[in-house]
Amino acid sequence: MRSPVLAVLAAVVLGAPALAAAQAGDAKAGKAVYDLKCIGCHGEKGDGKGPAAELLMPQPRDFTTGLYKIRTTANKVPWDQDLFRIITDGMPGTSMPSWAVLPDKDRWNLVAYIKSFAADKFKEAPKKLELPKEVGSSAESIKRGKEMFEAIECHKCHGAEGRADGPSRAELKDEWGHPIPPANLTKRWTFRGGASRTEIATRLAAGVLGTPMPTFIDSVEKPEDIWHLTNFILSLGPESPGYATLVTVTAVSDAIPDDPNADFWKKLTPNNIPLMGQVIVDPRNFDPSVDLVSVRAVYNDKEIAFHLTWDDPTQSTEDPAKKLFADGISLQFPPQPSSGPERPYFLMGDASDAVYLLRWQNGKGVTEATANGPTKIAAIQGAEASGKAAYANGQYRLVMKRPLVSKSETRPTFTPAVFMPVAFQAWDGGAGEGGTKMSLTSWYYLRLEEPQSSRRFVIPPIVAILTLAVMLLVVRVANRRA
Amino acid sequence: MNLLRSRFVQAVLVLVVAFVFFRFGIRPPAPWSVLTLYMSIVLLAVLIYVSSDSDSWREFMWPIRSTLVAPDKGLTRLVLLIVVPLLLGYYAYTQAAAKPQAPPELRAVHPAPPASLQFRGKEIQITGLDNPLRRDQAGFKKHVAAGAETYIRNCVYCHGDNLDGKGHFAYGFNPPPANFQDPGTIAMLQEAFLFWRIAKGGPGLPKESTPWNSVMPAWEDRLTEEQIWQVIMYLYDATGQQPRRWETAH
Amino acid sequence: MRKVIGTLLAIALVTGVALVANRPGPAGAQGGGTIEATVTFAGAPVVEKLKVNKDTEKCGTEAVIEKVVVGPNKGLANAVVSVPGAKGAAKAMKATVDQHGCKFVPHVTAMTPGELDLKNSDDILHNIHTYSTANPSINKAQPKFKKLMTEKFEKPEFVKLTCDVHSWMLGWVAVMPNPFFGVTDAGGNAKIENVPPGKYTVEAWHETLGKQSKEVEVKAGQSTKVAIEMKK
Repeated sequence: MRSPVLAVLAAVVLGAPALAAAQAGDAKAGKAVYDLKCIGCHGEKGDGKGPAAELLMPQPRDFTTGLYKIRTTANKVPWDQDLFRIITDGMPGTSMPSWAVLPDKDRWNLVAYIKSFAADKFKEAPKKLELPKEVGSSAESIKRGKEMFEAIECHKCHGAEGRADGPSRAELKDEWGHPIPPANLTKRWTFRGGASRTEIATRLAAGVLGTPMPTFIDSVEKPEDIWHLTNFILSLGPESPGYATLVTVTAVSDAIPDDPNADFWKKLTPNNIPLMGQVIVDPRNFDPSVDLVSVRAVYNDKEIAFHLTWDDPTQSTEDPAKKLFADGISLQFPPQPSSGPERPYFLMGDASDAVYLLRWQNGKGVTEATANGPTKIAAIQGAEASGKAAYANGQYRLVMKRPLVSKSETRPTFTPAVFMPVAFQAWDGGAGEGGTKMSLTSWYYLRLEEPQSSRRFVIPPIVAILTLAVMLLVVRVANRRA
Repeated sequence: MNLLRSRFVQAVLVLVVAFVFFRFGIRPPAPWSVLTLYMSIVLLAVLIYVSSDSDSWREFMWPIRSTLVAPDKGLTRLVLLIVVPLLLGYYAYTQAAAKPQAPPELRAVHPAPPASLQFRGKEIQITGLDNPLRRDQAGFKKHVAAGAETYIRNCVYCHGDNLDGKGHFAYGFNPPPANFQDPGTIAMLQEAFLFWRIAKGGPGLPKESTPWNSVMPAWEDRLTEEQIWQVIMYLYDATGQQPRRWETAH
Repeated sequence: MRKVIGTLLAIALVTGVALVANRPGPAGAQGGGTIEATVTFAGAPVVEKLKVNKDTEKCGTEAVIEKVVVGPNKGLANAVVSVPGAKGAAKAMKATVDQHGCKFVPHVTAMTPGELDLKNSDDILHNIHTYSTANPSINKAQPKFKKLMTEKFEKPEFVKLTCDVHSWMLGWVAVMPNPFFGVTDAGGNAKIENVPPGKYTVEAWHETLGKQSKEVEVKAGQSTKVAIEMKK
């Protein structure tokens, strides 16, 4: 069998259960692969204490306990296929990558080898998990799922709208005593065990071993509530973030509202930008809290406004006594659009080339600054920017506004149809982020679209008519010659 | 097989075959601008070929002329007169209505290294430099193992566990982190080039590598000279690639 | 059919008789003795307090985590006193732990191998998360409408109970090999009755202070006092 998909397909076609595709691996051969590919994180002894472990969050799996988060069984023992699938697909939202590049045989051998770290735990046979009969998604099912979500109090950890901001968040620890955040149910592309309907229902039914997530199969009112809950969870967010490569600023003729919750903003398409940890300057951030910011931007003849939405499970302001930083976000631009391809260093500029920051900090509001590197930030006097933020259910919404044109050398002027470099930085104070401990992007492009023109309706007919005319002329000339 | 003898059919055939080859036969796919360039050259060559003598040219032009004038081809003419303007009009619409894309960033992938560099205040000659740790053949395994550890603690976030440029931070960055498994990266370069890129990172890129969007840190701030050479040994050892040798002086 | 019912009845009867026969009767009835144990600890009580940020109407505004409870005369509460060497069949009795006021009540439940009823009288979500090695550990949600769950603990072991929703909740289930055990009260006292006469080692276990033991001799129809001091 070339791939697990093929194997499953073949099994389905042949009428055999999909599980029949498991292969017996050779633990000894698996060790050779393990020592090459896995040892750096999972360690020589399989205890999850490889040299990289201390920098990773979530921590690498400790195979010696035989506890596996993701399994499709009713007891604690996973199927070999469960382990094989995780090796093959990796775990979204963690440092565990997909090892699909390894031949099937190697991956089955790895399964055999990692099982050998806790051989006694695998003496018990896996017990098949019986999911209740599947219920398709419908408005009714989602409504029932929401009722159940509230009745079984998923919000205690996952938050009222699923953004991992529940009151128990800070208390959660895994079996090894490490803090473990609940899943953000609105970002299902980060679900460790996959985001398909069956995978979500399985996690609900069987729980996530070694974590606070309990089993719910016997703890819902009716068994099929597992599927109603699944349908509700699927309704909480999009399937994928659909990352943008360009931030388009829409032209509007009316006034731009200050209120981040105004309907005005809901009509605009968000540009979703992924943020990564800052790992260049100390202190580094290996486990960034803010991993996505949705940008909606508009401009009129006077000003440009940015509407930013991002998830932050804890609302925090600066508190030096508790060593807490304020939540914040900033947009970075070159101070002046350059004619050539050069632009300042993406990490807040450097000594020779500064960047302009349009930023917001919880408690301080919107300010403008010039930066010559992440530790050399100076506020610009005579602020021209303003803004308003709102926080609810683990999410910030923020409007930042600025005049379109600036006469100062330290602030850029925004011109329609020009590609302008832009970068983003964000801090979650509650997660201990502040200063250089941030999440960030490298340079993206921002472009103010031209006011909606009728060009696209005028040009095509002209082209067609001109072509016809030229062709007629050619035919005519040819006929005359003939 | 009269049809194949026709100069016009031959010309069209050559163009179609050339297009199919350039479009689907090259991996990774060539960008449209390059494709257009190649196709113009092929078109030019075909035109030169068919116009090499006047008989050939006449033969080439005959189907075109006949379509334009022959009384029995009136229907074909009419269809062409309708379809061609419509197609061009549609093309114009797609162009006018298209949403602008971020401009492509053309940059030198392997810029020329400097002849020498300053590493923590020490001058290191790059030209002609080989990995000094390779002389210590007994310590090879030790150095590779040390390099592996340095790699997994520092590089893995972007370049990935499998050294394929698919670390868990990789998807957020443009240009994407280098894929060392790709024969087009470290196998094409001398170890000294890698030393320069690792030591100086994105901030040390020369002018031809604008627009400087690389997030590669300058590792001289964090790693020692020996650690960098060890990581380089690990990169080649783990991927099975061989470093390029300096051409010996004539 | 009749035969089957008859057999079943016979089995039930025999089992019933066996249970009654095995149950230790009142002191002296079978010639057993009583152990009156006093467990003491010279150190200071360990009590942690935590501000509660949810469910305050059920849990109160402050959670008190009593890790070491020391009463008058240094009496140590919540210690399990047992006689591991005594011979006697297990009592077929269900033990019960209630989740009440965001606490496990009682803090330490001692039981013989068998079933444990887990009650939720708080009307909010709890999850029973056990840490055990001999018995399968569980992590089961117990939402407000699930007033009672029953779990099996079949192997002798001290099992930690936690609730991830309310991280301060901590309880212990002591699964004992024989019915000769007791849990100390606020004064550090526990009484074990109907212990067959003989020489034994009496063991005291505490969740943070570990184990201490002492030799005693139990005489029929008599009470034997034993004092055990726990050390850090």
